[in-house]
Amino acid sequence: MSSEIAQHKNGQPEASHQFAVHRNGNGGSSSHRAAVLVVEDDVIHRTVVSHWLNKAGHNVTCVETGEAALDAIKANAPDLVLLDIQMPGISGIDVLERVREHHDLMSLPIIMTTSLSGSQEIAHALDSGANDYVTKPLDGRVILARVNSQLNLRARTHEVLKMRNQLAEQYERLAELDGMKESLMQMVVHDLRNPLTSILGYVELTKREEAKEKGDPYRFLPAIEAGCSTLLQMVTGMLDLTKLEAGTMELKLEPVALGPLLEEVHDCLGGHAQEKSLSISVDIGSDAASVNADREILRRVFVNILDNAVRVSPRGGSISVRSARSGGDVRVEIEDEGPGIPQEAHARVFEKFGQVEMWREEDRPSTGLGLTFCKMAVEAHNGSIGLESEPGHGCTFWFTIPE
Amino acid sequence: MAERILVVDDDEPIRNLVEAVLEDEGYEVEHAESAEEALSKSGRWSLLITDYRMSGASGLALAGALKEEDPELPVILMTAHSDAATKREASQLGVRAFLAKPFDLDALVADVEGALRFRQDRTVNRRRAGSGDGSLEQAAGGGW
Repeated sequence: MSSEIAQHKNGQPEASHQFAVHRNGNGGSSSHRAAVLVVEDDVIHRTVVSHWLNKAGHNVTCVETGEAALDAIKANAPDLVLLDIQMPGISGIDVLERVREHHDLMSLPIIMTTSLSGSQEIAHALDSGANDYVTKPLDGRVILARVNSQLNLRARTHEVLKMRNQLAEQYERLAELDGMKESLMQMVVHDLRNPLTSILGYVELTKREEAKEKGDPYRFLPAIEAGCSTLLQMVTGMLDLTKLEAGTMELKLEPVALGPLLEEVHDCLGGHAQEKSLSISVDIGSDAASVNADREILRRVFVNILDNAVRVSPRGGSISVRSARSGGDVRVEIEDEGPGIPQEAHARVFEKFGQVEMWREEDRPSTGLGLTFCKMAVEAHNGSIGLESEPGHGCTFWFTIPE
Repeated sequence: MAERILVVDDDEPIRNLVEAVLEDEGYEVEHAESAEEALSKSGRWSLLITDYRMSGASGLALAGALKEEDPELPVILMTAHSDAATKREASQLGVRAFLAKPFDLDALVADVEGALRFRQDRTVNRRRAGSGDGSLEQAAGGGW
């Protein structure tokens, strides 16, 4: 059911008849068989009309009274109705009005047939929602032309409605993405505030220190420097993510020895890991000691994953980094003893908007876009990335890079 | 007796910054990197300064838990971004002040002084009102 029709439901009175709505897949195009209901008390007219419609390939059902017409439409809505105005019992106009009361049948094409030359009846029918009319004596060719014209019109309307619905869906998806981007912005700004707060704070403290008699204005320089490095790392990460997404990041592939690289990364994380008394063990397989990669990008992949591991690790915990050969690839695993990641979040951890969603849903600090960067960076190397984790039992991030 | 202030933030530089500022002002400061660590510390606090979003329990949850033991404990909430709903929830819990990151150190000190003074005034008023009157005590408890 199209949303166009569904929208009319609000505020509509309950229809007296509940109609089953049947739609042809083809929307009733004239070149296909259409289900046509002929409502006509006169046997000769009925015969003539069905003859022409049958000949044109339509699937014709005939009824003789208004009541029978309403029952037939209720049981299975046709593609088009040819409806006589003057009938014993319920008149054609009554039938028309009852059908049009039902929102699902607003667009059912109804052509009135009338032996009356009175323009008042015709005008009344058209006002009540008839699509067209033909006058008796009935001319087969004219009826067929009118029927086809209405069926064509309906097919076009359906196409337009379908496109409208597609557009509405696309709009919704775009609006959702736009909302995600908005949240992403908020998350990024949020993340930038902490280092900015500490930098500005320590600058202010430095000024106060300077004003003191025995103050040491250099006392806070390391803290300011650390804040700036954090900020720089975040900004660089974001810019690189943009480049990776746009496919404009150029990789400088070279053989990279994992041992020295990990020592560098370890030095970079040293402070935080030491503060939490973490032990980081490195076990590099002899046949998995080197990969073909962009050294700087790979270094940042390690920094991001290890930074995350350090953050989630309990005080005094241990982190293990391993590399081993796996087919033509080198597989690296980084295992932490943190709280772990629930199964349902595994897929979202590496996704940009997944991070945003989790940040929106939980009152938690964001884990940033570091892991999103890792996924794109690893994939740019034709590798793959993933994680294994059970809540309460830590987490193992793994990635593979072709040798 | 020096005022004991508990500072809770999972961001180490911010924690150290707030601690350095307040120690400079002559307060006794303890810090924790999570709500859980904060709750494991013993003793009575004159004031709680906590970040809102942290790994594990939030700053508001921490404030609620500490206020169960000490309903008059003043709380200052540090946030990088606070929406109306958070502020409402916070004020229902009796959060004394919001410090939006990045914050001015003078504003931090002023908020801390204001919160501690308010607590002292309450204590003095309650003593003046006499020990048998529970109504004022209750009113004071709800105010924070």
